This record gives sequence, C-alpha cells and structure tokens, in this order.
Amino acid sequence: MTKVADRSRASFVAMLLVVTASWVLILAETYVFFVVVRPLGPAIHTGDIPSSVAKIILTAGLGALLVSAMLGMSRLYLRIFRTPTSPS
Amino acid sequence: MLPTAADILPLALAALIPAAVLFVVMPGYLKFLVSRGRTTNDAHKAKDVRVPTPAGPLIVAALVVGELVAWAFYGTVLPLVLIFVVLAAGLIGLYDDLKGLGGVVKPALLAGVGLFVALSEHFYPSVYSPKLYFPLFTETGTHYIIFALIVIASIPVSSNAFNMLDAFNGEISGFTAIVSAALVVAIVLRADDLPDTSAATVAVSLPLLAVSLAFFYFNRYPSKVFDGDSGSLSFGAMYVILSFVGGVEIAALVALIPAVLNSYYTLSSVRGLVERKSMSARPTYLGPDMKLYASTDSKAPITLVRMILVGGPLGEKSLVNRILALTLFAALLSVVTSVMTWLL
Repeated sequence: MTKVADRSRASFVAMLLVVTASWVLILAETYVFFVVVRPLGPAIHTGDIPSSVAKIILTAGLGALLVSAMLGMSRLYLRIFRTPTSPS
Repeated sequence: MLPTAADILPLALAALIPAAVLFVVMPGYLKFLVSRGRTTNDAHKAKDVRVPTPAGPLIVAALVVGELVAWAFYGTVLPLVLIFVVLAAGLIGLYDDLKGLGGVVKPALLAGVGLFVALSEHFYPSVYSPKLYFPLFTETGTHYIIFALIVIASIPVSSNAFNMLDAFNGEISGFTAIVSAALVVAIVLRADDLPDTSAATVAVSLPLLAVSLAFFYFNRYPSKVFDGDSGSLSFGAMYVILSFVGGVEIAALVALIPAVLNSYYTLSSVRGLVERKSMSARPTYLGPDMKLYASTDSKAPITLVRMILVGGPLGEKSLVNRILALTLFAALLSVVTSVMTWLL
C-alpha cells in the first residue's frame, strides 16, 4: 500500500513539473519571438514578401516546437509510469 | 487606472448579486429538475445515486444578472457582449444536454459566437485590444484580422477544454473558480497599466468568479447537482472572452495549462474531435474498493485524470483535490505572469 501511495505522490509531483515546463516553454518561446522573429522585418501587413514569409514560417516553427515538446513530455511521463498506449 | 473607493459598491454588487441569485434559486430549481425527471446517474458512487442536471440554465441566468449589474453601473458595451456570449454558449450547451450535438457541429456553432465578438469589436472598437501583451518583453503590433481569427477559434477551444474537465464531483466548478480568480487578478493589474482598461472591465469579470464559487457549494463532493454542457460551455466561453476584454490572454492561458494539457493529450490520443460517449475505451475505471484506476487498455484515451492515476488509484474526492491543487499551482504561475507583465 505504501508503495502505491508513494507512486501516487510521485505522479502528482511529475504533473507539477509538466505544468512548470509548459509555463517555461511559453516564456522561452515568447523570448525567441520578440528577440529573433520580430526584428526580422516590419509588420507583416506592411513589409515585403520575403520578410513576411520568414516571420510566418518561424512563428509556425515556434508553434510546432511547442506541440513537439508537449508530446515529448507526455511520452516521457507515460514511459516513466509504464502506461500502455496505442502504437503510433 | 485601478478601481477607486467609488467603485467598491458596484464591484461588490457585481459579485454578490449573481452569487445570491444562484444560492436563492438553486433549491427550487433542483426540485423542478427532479419533478421533470431530469436526473442522471452519478457514475463514481457505490450506490445508484441520481443527481439533478443540468444546472447550466441557472448558471447562465446568474451570470447574465451579474453582467446586467455591471452594465447598470458603468453602461459600457462590454457586459452586453458578454451576455450574448454566455446566452449563446449556454443555449448550444443546453441543446447538447437535451438532444446531443456532433463532435464537429458543436465547435462550429461556438466559433459562430466568436465571430459575433470579432464583429462587435469591428463596430464598437472598445470590446478588446487587437494585440497580445507578453510578460517581460512587450506587446505585439495591432493585427485586426489575425486577432479576429484568434478570437473566433478561441471560444470552441476554451469551451471544449472546460467541458472535458467536467467529469467528477466539484471538478468543473472548482477549476472555474480558481482560474477565474487568477483572471480577476490579471485584469486588475492590467487596469493599473492601461488607460482604456478600467473598473468597468474588473466589474464584468467578477460574476464568473462569484457564480463559479457559489456553484462549487452545490457541485462539490458529493454533488447535489451537475452543470451539464450548458454550464461548462458557458463558463469556458465567458472565461476566454474576458481574457480578450481585459487584455490578459497570456496569463489566462497559463492558468488553463492543466485543461490545455488534458485537451491536447485527449485529442492527440483519439486523433480528432470525438464525443466522450462515442469513445471505444474509457480512460479510467471504478474498482471494487470504489477507487478510480487508470485504464490499462492501450486504446483508452490519455487524459489528465488517467495521467494522475497512473501513480496509483484514488477516491473521487482525492482525485478532484489533486486536479484542483494542480489548477491552483497553474493559477499561481498565472499570477506571476501577470506581475511580470505589469512590471513591464
């Protein structure tokens, strides 16, 4: 019984870490957006096409990175706690 | 501009009156639901317990009363927009409660509510500010079309995220109360920063906090009433539109992280918009000891609850306490985010 209770607490702490990691990810991506992507050119609707395309691609890339990181975290979590999932 | 002493009475009434409406009317409303046979089985109990549902119409009515109080004192267009949002999301949810809506029709109808909000901003450019305010750095430029698309998409996303957290006693009401408290803090700090965000914006955000707290009294373990989709969809729609109205989208998103994770893991594991009733395997099951266990079926969807339960089985009350503790933690991160934006 004690072993089960310990793992239950561990899974809760792991979920807190997942929430914290998601928060840090949001802040980090914000930093990249403002420091790297935004200075690439003028606002999308006033800039030339190459600048706009680069900004759109990089912004979409940040979104893809966020999705990949969340997927990676869930896979890691489920592997640690040995949960069966459908093969993908 | 922060609310002043003159705002204390309007703000107090915008919170107290809707909560009082819910407290006073709920006992009679429960009798009405029972007399009409509107009860459902409480799935995680040892005995066959029937619980009245849906409380959504009363929740919507209380939220509307709160917005009318804010409108009576401040006379801005904001409460009227929010009244439409809550009524429309509540009606969509009520139809889903009574007749059922498909996994694609419901988000499409909710997107229509978002379209109304975007059009409101077009005709009355004081509903929201079409830019995002980020912590530490700065705000984005003004992007009318991109922002309108975000508003339209956000209502189905947020409403469904709330709806997916509506499975256990006290889960949706406790979750909404915690995240809306973080939202009110964010809006108050924003009101200090922006000249065009005032006590009126704080006033329109208070009914959600007050009504969800009052509803928690009836919905907490063991539940005396369930909200139904009419309640959860209106909570979700109002929350997200308040985040736009207050200019606190990022802080609001941070508070929602547990719900976002739940929706993301569910949708990615079932691969698409699928109604809960039509899922082939359940994420959890009730053991003979009346505790909830994580499903070992590989076809079962990955949900926040299943992820919490993989560490070991929990009773329903303990499980909801874990979810609410996780939400409280995200709400604290949201407050930190709001302070970081405020210090900019």
